[in-house]
Amino acid sequence: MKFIDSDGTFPLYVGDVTRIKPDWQEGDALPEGWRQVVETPLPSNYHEDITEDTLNPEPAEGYIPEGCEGIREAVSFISYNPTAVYNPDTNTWNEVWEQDIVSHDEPYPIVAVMVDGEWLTPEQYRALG
Amino acid sequence: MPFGAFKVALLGSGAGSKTYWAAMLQTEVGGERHESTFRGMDVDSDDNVYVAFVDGSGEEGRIAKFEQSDGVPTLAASVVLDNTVPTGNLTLWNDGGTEILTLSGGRNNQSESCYVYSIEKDLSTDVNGGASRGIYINSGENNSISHDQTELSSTGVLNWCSMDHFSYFGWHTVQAGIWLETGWSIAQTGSSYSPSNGISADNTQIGTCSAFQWGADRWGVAGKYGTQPWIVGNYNTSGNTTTGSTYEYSGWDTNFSGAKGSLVCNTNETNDPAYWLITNPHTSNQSVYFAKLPENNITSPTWVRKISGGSMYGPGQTGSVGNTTGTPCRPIVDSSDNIYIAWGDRVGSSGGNDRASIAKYNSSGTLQWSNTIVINSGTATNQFNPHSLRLSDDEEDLYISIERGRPDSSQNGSGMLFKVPADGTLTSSDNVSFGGGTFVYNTQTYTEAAGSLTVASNTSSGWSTSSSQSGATAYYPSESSFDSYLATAEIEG
Repeated sequence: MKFIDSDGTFPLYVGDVTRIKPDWQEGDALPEGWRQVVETPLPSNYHEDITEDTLNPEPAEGYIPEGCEGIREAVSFISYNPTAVYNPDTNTWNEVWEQDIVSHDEPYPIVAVMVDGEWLTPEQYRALG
Repeated sequence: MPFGAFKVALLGSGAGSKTYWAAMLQTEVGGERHESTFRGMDVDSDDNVYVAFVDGSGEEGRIAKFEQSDGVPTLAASVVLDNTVPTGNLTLWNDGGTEILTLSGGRNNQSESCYVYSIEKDLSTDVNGGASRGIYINSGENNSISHDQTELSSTGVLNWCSMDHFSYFGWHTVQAGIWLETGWSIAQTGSSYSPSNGISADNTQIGTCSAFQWGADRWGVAGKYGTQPWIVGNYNTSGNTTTGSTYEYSGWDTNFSGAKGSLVCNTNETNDPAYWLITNPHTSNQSVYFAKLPENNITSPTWVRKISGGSMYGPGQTGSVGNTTGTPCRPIVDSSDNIYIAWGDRVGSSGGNDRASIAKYNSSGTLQWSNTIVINSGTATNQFNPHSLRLSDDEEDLYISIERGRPDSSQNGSGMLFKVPADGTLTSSDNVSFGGGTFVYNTQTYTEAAGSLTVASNTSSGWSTSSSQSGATAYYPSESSFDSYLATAEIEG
């Protein structure tokens, strides 16, 4: 359960309610000015990586071997931040997920490498021995 | 060992004339003073304090026992253990009627295994014939002892974890699982217990690990994945006697970067909630998050608190445990369901004074107090990061092991140990002389408020059940003694 208080603080959780009203249970009246927010599921592409490919990258000792044909780096990922939006038609507060493209920390994670023209996952690469 | 063989600073006295203090200890080998880094720590019912630490190489393990029969700590015993013995976690527990010390942690650079080593409280009597048993880690060329916070239950179940690096593409893996008491071998040996082990996919993003047991049926590892704090592990409905299914959860708030966590479960409360400490050094959101997660509905936090302000800079980034890939100090819970947390940062900037913050919450998420230890002469080469928290049996005293401080910048760093009242008192703005410098133990008024944390189910780290580990051949570490460095013959402060 998520809530919004009279100051617009969102999200607040059930423990925030019981800190004010220790005996509060679902269905009881909320603290003055608080509203329960109708939750919505996170979009399915949450945390999906956005990648960039580099062919023939510069070798780096202990990191990128000599002769590496290519690396695929995750430069950012898709995230979502929760907001609460009031719907006057239904008189409800609804959770809305606002998309946020978040950069990964550098050096960017290498999520695949090219061998013989094929992109291999780390597990496939390691399996080559 | 005579009193004063290491540095002690008195903070003052509390109820019942209890004495509170700070201590630091370096060793001397061959006439040369050595750096020390404190790691696992525990306290017995007689208030003897045991600290596991490593020397300047970061690999050679040592244990020191401090007595405090006169109200001040004295070095009662010590032992040097070779570098296959982990120091990340030191747990005092009852092994069939005998109270012993057990060291556990991830494999280190000199070892192929996550070893578990036990010794009696006198630090001279071997347990298991002096054998250190372990689990062989079948991946990775390199590894790091920064990632070895394990958890040992009172029944001898060890939740272990380890992190391995590969020498290409920055890939690494985290592995974890369960060990049983039986001979400290893999649990199938002489037991009906059938534990599960897990491993992440090879990737650059997973990092840090702090193993935990969460209720009866869930075990796992808290750490990070990319910019976010992460929890992975296995779950089953038969008390971990079957492999069960894997799970992953992530935490997110706006402006997370390098955020990582550590977790402890309180089985005394309904729904076995976990308390998740998260440090976030993002420059636009320097903060600490603390969330209560019910085991039966993990994506719906009971509450989330956020601590910020107070010139917080780089929380969770100091020290070998708290560095960019290290693991924050594990929270502890007392018998009244209060939770103690600790983290390291610097005051104001990367060149600011080193600071360890300690806070106490009740189970409703209400902050009881927050205090800090600030080394006035700290430099960026210090690693003033809390590693272990413990309470005395009467729960009146809180002990904090700090990885390393260096009040006198001309000296080598030294592990530090603090004993403070668990009620948060005895704070002062006074400077306390210590180790050629000064520190202050005082209250800190952080901005403390409700926080937002999106806890979501994930599969990004590729956590999967693994059978790649196997029981390692028993190892018999060599033991020797060391001389503590007589930094001063007098108590400071």
